[in-house]
Amino acid sequence: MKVKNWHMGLIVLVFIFGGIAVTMAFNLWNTEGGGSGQGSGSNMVPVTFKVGEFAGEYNPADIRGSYSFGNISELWEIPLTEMGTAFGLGAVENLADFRCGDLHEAYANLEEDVEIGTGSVKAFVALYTGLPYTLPDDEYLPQSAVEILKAQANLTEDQVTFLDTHSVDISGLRIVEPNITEEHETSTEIVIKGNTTFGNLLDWGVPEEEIEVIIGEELPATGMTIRDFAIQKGLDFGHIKALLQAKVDALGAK
Amino acid sequence: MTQQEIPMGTLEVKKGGERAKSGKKINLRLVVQIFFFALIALIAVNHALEEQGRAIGFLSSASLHAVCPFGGIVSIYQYVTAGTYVHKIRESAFILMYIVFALALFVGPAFCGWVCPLGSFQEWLGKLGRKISPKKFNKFIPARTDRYLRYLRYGVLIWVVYVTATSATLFFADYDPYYALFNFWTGEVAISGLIILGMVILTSLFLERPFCKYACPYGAILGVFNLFRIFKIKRNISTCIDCKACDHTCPMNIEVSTGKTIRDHQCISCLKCTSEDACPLEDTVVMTTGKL
Repeated sequence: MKVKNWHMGLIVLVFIFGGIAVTMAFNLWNTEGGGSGQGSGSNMVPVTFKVGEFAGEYNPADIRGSYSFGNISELWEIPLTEMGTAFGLGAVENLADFRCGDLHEAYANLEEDVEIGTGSVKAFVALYTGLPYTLPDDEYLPQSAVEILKAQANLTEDQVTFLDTHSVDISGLRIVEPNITEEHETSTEIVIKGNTTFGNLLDWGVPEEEIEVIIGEELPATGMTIRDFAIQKGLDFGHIKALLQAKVDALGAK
Repeated sequence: MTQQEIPMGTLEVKKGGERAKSGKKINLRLVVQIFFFALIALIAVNHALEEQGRAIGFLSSASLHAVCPFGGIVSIYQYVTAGTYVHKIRESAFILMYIVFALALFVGPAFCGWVCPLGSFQEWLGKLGRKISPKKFNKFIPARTDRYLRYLRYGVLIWVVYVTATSATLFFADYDPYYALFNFWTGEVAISGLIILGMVILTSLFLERPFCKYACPYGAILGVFNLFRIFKIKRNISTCIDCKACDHTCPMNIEVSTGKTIRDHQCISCLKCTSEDACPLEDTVVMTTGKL
């Protein structure tokens, strides 16, 4: 059998789009965040170590921006207050709902090249629990987190050196508390974002039936974000968001 | 004038004196290349729009890392040892990796020759370079030096996989001209990526697909499939007139006219050397499973 140009064109398209279609049918295709773990909201299930002495333990490397401090506290058994103190968020009202991804916004006032984000939380959790993790060169930990780790964790010399060279004094820093749930209401234009929940949609007046038509099933827990729902169901978040945004916009036009 | 002396472009000889190709054909490969280039460009733009809450609904707004099959390869070590993906890599990158491997097992690195937007981009720039220096284009580097330089990309592959495995970060994004090409306008591209993209653009005016030949780590892996792929490029030595049209047209400078079966690790399955395109004789250079 000879492969001609038109055969090749067909083969390429069938392999790529056919392969994608098959994996979508089996709910395996995922281009969005949410990681290789499963679940969302309070049901986050990170992947576990598969081999070695930590086999079966949750892997801190799987912590994503969508993980809340409450999830992490529960999964890795770190007291929530300790996490709040470590990251200078003791004054945050709903600390359990504070997401790792919000750290970038909270620490927006840091000097250039210094970043406290999801990687910092991974490092903190790994060092606190003694689980293996490759410490990131480009992310830093607040000095308060370093002090907790030095007091509570069994650290190696290398880890202490890392902490000494990757700590930031946040005592004089004004931490910007991200407005997670109320930003839509205060905005003149309501925009669906990654942290918008189904509850927000209902609050804005989108009828439950119309949401169910778009998502193709019964309304999930109102506290669940649309993004998490899309990831869990293997759906295109951008597509669902656009359809729901059209409903929100239509309400505004009335 | 013997057949061996027939100049390029005027060759009318065919088996039995007939000319196999007639009329203007649609360049299907170009159509497929433009399609994938446009698709990736639109996804990159849509990803940026999504962050502003203005994404186009019917189009994927995935990040480029999520739709690049090479992401799966650099993440393999972490996936096997820890069960996680490297930061920014998604299941989709792994799935695409498997799909492209399956494709390469059948027809070789067709991904490089038909799909890869960076390869297409270099090829299009090469058309301009061919106009600037028609005689010297793609022949600037002496063959002997060039032969050794071709193995550089395996060094790049080892470096990328090793550093990604040990750092657990997608560090290659800072050097990747593909990422820079589709994100240069976002401000997220490292200066190193932009410099390498600039070098690729410049050298593409003198050489065909310079990044593919000398530096692409993904091309290095897919090139290995040329050794055992099911459908191979074969030359019928009983009908070949040794005009070397296949050699002249090959973007990767492979000497197709010297072998019966092409197993060169640089072949990109573009089919430009075949009897459907450059070869003036019917059924003389073909991609097939059987014997000629």
